[in-house]
Amino acid sequence: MNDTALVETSKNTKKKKISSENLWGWLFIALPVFGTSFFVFFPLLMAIYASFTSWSAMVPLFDAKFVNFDNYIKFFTDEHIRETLFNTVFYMIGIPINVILSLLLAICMNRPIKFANTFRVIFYIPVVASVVSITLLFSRLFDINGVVNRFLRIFGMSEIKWSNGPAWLKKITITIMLVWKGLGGSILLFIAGLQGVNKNYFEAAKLDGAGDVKIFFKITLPQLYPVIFYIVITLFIGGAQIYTEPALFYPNAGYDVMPLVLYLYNQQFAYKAGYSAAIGIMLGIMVFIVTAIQFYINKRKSEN
Amino acid sequence: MVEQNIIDSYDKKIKKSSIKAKRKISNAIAYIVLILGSFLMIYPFVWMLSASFSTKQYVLQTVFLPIEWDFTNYSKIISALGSPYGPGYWRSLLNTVLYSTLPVVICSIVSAMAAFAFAKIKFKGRDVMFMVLLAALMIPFPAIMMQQTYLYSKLDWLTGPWAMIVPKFFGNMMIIFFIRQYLLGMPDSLIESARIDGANYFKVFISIVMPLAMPAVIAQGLLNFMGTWNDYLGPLLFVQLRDWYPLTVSLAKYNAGIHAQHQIVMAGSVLALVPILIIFGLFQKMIIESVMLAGVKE
Repeated sequence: MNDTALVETSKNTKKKKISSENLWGWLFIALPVFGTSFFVFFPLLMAIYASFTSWSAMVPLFDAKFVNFDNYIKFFTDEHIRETLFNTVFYMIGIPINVILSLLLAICMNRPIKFANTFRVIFYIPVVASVVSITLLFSRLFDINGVVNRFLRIFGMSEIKWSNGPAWLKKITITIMLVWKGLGGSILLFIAGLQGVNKNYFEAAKLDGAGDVKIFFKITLPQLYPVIFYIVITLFIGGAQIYTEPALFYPNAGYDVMPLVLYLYNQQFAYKAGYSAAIGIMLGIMVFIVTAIQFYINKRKSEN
Repeated sequence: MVEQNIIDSYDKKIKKSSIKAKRKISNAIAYIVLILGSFLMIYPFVWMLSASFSTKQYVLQTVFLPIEWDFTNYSKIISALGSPYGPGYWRSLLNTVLYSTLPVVICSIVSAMAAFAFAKIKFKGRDVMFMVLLAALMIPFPAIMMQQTYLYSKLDWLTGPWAMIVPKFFGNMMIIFFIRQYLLGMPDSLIESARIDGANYFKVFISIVMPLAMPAVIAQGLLNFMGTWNDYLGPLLFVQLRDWYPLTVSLAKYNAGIHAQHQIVMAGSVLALVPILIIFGLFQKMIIESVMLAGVKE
């Protein structure tokens, strides 16, 4: 009799505890859940719906005419999409350069040298600096009469028409700026990675007569793959969304330097909100697919 | 035999000294690379500062110091950010501060509460909700930014500062994710003993979790602050009344206008940059450590 009562009460308190945890848990996540639903998932549903209509953004969304896959068909046939998508990808050529340079610099900083922390801070300054300030600055540095050309002349080279020249050179100029601004972040991640490298294999490899270079490529680098993977993924996701730098560097940009997101933006303000939404959805899908492929390759690599 | 020993030790000495010499050389190379790199990192800022003190004629010819000094550029940019480009320098600055301080603090606290729930409270649907919120991170901003703008315009937020403020009250999934990672390493016993003493989860959060998670909360808050301070595309879309432009938008509008002059734009860029550099200087250790931690945790 007593025993069953005891069991009952313990059951009750357990139940009470669980229900109170449910209550508190949901209370604590209520704001983010509501915010994400209302400010992210709801706009996403709107975008998906709008992408199948000829919405102009001037009338309520549900008054817009349904046009099936027209916007998506247009996406694949629009030559401006081809150009602007190409530009967006072009701006990503800075990613491998970023990875190689930052790895090199991280190795230098990871040595037992003085001022290692000072160097870290210096290289991180461009990362925290405002994109707007930096872009306005670089558009002056790379002016035809700017200081970069001045230095080139001092070193006996001919000046380069950075931001006044052919489209590819205009884009290279932005890429240089992107690499310059992004190095510091990757360096920090590489230093963290290098500090986590298992050094047990080093001695064994040295006894086998392996040189420093061989040790780096055979032992250190493979252990850094997760870091490289993380850097490439984040730079890729950021790069796919590039907007501010080209838009500010070339305020009256033509299609030869325009990134995809700026084209999307312009479509919205040309009252083609349905098409603009379709571009956004396609951008999301492309980012998702490439990221998934990278995750797949990474997984296979780490399994081997 | 003895001779062999002597030769051996001699060999070792040579090897040791050669290793030492090798290390010295490679350290020297590292220094050269780093100093050269540091110069490339710092120089553009030096140029920006010099250019902001230069006269109109010689601004692009600046190399290290202004060829001809002009100290009026700063007062010029302060008055130039008024109509038709922005609401004036001081008002723009005030707007930027408004968007990047209190909303960021509230965002951090709300995110920390959710992170605590996701890490330490066992409630029904926790893992599903976490995955759902994490999925939101995979949606690129450009894919939904126009619909967000439309939504905010229907709420009549675009004519005021609201679209830059209110969404932050609901926390940020990225911050939740990082603080959760931080809290996962915290022992459960701390919370359990407090619970047995009769404290509810809110009390536990305030008195135990928050103090412990403070370093992570502050670091994430600082990154969020800097991100908001530097944001351009967000306010470009979400702030449509000139009175509410932040510094970045006012400056970019002035730069694109017909009256823009290099030295004045550079003065404006310096003004937009300095607060961030001060914050970074004060908290550099914390910021750098949290960025490094983020990479390791991934």
